[in-house]
Amino acid sequence: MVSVSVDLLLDPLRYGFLVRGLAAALLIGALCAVVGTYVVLKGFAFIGDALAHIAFTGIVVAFLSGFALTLGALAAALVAGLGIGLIHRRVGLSTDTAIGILFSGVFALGLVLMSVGIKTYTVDLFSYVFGDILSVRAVDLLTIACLSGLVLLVVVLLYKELLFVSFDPVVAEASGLPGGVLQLLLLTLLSVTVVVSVQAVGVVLVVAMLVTPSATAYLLTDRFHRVMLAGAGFGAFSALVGFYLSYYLNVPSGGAIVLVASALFALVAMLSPRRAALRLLVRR
Amino acid sequence: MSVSAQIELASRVQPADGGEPVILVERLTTGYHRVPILEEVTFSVPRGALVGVIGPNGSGKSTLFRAILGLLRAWQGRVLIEGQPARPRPEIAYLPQSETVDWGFPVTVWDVVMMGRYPRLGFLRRPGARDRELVERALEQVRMQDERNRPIGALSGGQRQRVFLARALAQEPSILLLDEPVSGVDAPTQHFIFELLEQLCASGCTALVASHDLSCVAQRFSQVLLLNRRMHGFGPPERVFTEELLNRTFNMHLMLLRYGERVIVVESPDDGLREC
Amino acid sequence: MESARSSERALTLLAVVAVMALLVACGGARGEPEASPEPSPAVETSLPVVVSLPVFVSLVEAVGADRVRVSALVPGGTDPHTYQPTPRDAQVLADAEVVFVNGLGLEEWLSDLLASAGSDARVVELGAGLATLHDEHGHEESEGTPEAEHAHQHEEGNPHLWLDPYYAAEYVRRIAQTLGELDPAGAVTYRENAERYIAEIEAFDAWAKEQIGRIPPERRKLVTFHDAFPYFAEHYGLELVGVIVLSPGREPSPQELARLADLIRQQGVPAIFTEPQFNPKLAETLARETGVVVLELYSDTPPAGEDFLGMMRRNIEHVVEGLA
Repeated sequence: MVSVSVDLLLDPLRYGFLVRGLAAALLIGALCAVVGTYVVLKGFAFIGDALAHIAFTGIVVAFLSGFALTLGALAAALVAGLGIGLIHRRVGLSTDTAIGILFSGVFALGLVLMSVGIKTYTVDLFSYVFGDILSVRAVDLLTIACLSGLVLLVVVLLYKELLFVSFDPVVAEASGLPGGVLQLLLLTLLSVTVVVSVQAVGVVLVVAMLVTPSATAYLLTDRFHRVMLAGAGFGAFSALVGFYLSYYLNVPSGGAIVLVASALFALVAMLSPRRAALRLLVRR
Repeated sequence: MSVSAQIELASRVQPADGGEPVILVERLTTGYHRVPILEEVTFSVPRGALVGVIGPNGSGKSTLFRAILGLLRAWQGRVLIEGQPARPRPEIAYLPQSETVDWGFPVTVWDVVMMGRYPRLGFLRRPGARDRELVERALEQVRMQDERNRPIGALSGGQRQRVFLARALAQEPSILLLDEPVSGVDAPTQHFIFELLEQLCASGCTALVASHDLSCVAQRFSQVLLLNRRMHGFGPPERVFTEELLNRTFNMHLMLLRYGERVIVVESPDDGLREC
Repeated sequence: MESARSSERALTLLAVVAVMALLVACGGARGEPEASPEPSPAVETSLPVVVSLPVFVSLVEAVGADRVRVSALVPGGTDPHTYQPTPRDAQVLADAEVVFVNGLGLEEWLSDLLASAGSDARVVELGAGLATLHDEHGHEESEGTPEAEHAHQHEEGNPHLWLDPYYAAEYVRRIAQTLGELDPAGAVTYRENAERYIAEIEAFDAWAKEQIGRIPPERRKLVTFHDAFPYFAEHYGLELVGVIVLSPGREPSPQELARLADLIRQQGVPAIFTEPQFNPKLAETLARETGVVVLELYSDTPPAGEDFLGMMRRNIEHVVEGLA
């Protein structure tokens, strides 16, 4: 019995490309949850979605111009993130409409460019819409690991400043912290996270990976650093189980991972003692 | 009041020891989106003063605080804090009207008060023993030390105010700016906060308290600034609290009833009394 | 309003970036060589012919020469299985006199397009009625849904007949016959051209068989990207070990890809073959996993500048290069 389950666990790991895919998914699951803690609590989910869609167009443009796709995605997401951040700071939440119009328009541009400008490789770029964990090369894994490491390093080093600015931006700024810079930094971290994750789960599902595991953690604990750690755990767990499910049930990996994360959330929401937290989440 | 009279009045409140005023505001004109909120405001605050900034809603009290904090640039005139141009710094602690805070944030009372230490720590440093000590002391000063592990969202309005005050104290500030600290707060807490402020000012802190509420507070301040876009009066409350100045500030007809040492302000002969 | 102005500025900046991106993309697109063949030089009285796939253009031109004007519906380098026709295609169809398609379920999108185009062109299915192979990939381990799905897609059998020179010759004959019926004045020319071209095909076939003969028998194993080569494989005595994408547009699951990797290793397949219109990443993943090389084959679009025979010659060259 034990040997059967060990076999089940080890079978996919015989293949290099699957090991890399699993490693990438685990990293992305944890990273998204860490940055996603800010997203859930600050209501950035919409912005995260916008960045993912804009990153896609960055990929298309990079492809047409012959640049590395990751660079194109990063450039587009960073420009968009900073742009949205500047608008957000000045005008506030009513800019949801402006952001929505902007990012759908940019995404549509990407789709049109993809079919008009490219005679080949339509499938290649579509893999960024829905995720393709099967084609992670060693260099891709290295890129994902380095960028994730960078983001996590910044979060750790500037943990208290980012916390203060997120909780109470006015007083944080009044006491001398560079509030505007820190908020833009947060958006930059979000942009990098989105770009890293688009490969595994695709543009459409990135926002789910940002929101669901950390929302689950939020239902269980009331200290910020614990939400972050628990969220990372849930994200990695969803990636692991989703990966194996996708292998044995022959279903796309991105969808499987998000389904596991969502099921986990539903389970915790039903069992959780922190009803108040659930209500607060719904209100956001 | 003419400008020259204002400046004369301001200069009469130099501290007895002739030291530099902690806060110096000279002919400050500023606002938002090209709309002026403050015009030609001039006053100076000595060290250890407990100043009440009194005016109706929308009179520019919060704007004045932002200018003092360096969050808002002066269009004309200047603001000097201890001789330096105003800019955000840890020495000035700010308690705004707390609408911008996210009450669902997973932080405890302790976490929030510890945030007061962050600007003092600088980047990359972790809170140490001394910081924990200061947080503990701040919590004791506001009598919230037993609630340190409670999430911020579970507190009442009065408790939240005390926690934010503790955070401000943890900053080790030399200047405190409190914007409407007692509106919507129960009477015992109001009383407690003012007692604490008086103690702090007695030990060298300088505090500015903004309020639109006339009822209790006038006599607790060492100076009062009457503000409604322009400065309508600045000085000790017994000199500044006149019907004429109050009417001009609040654009209403007010009556002052002196009841021994107490001052009671009423809106018109037909209104009910508001008493401390 | 100060804040409104800066938000306007930010939005303007983003709009400028978007427009710049569009310009760059157009520049990039213009730089791409136009793989879709243009209509042959127009003789005023030439017959307008439309074909579905680019590979058929050279077949029709070989028969019709300058008596015909040929254009293809599917642009070069696009997957014909999942092609989405444009309004311009309907226009082209409406102006045509004859449309040559492969049939056998390859151009599923065509019937709707023909109906909406309201064209009175004659539609000829080049593959109709020919003996077909039904799907047996030699892909032993795949069972259940993917097989059933693919079989459903090609109910009449695998449509990629023209990659077997025998069937290609039959296509040429049918083209000549049709053109002769529509343009009796040129019937003789058409038949002569067809016979000449068929002779070329036969000459090519002889050369190809000799080339294939140079591959050691145990290495004559083919793994292709999609299932376009069963007739090709059977004609040249190659074993079709497996296919990466079982039905076009549906990527393999992790397990399917893993099983294919096993199969490649077990059977000692020396190379895997992808096609230009498909995502090379999957093939590369498979190649990296198994240590084999990746080469290209062409099925429905000849490489730039080549005709049908040129395309087949390249295919043979690549097969020999990979497997020998």
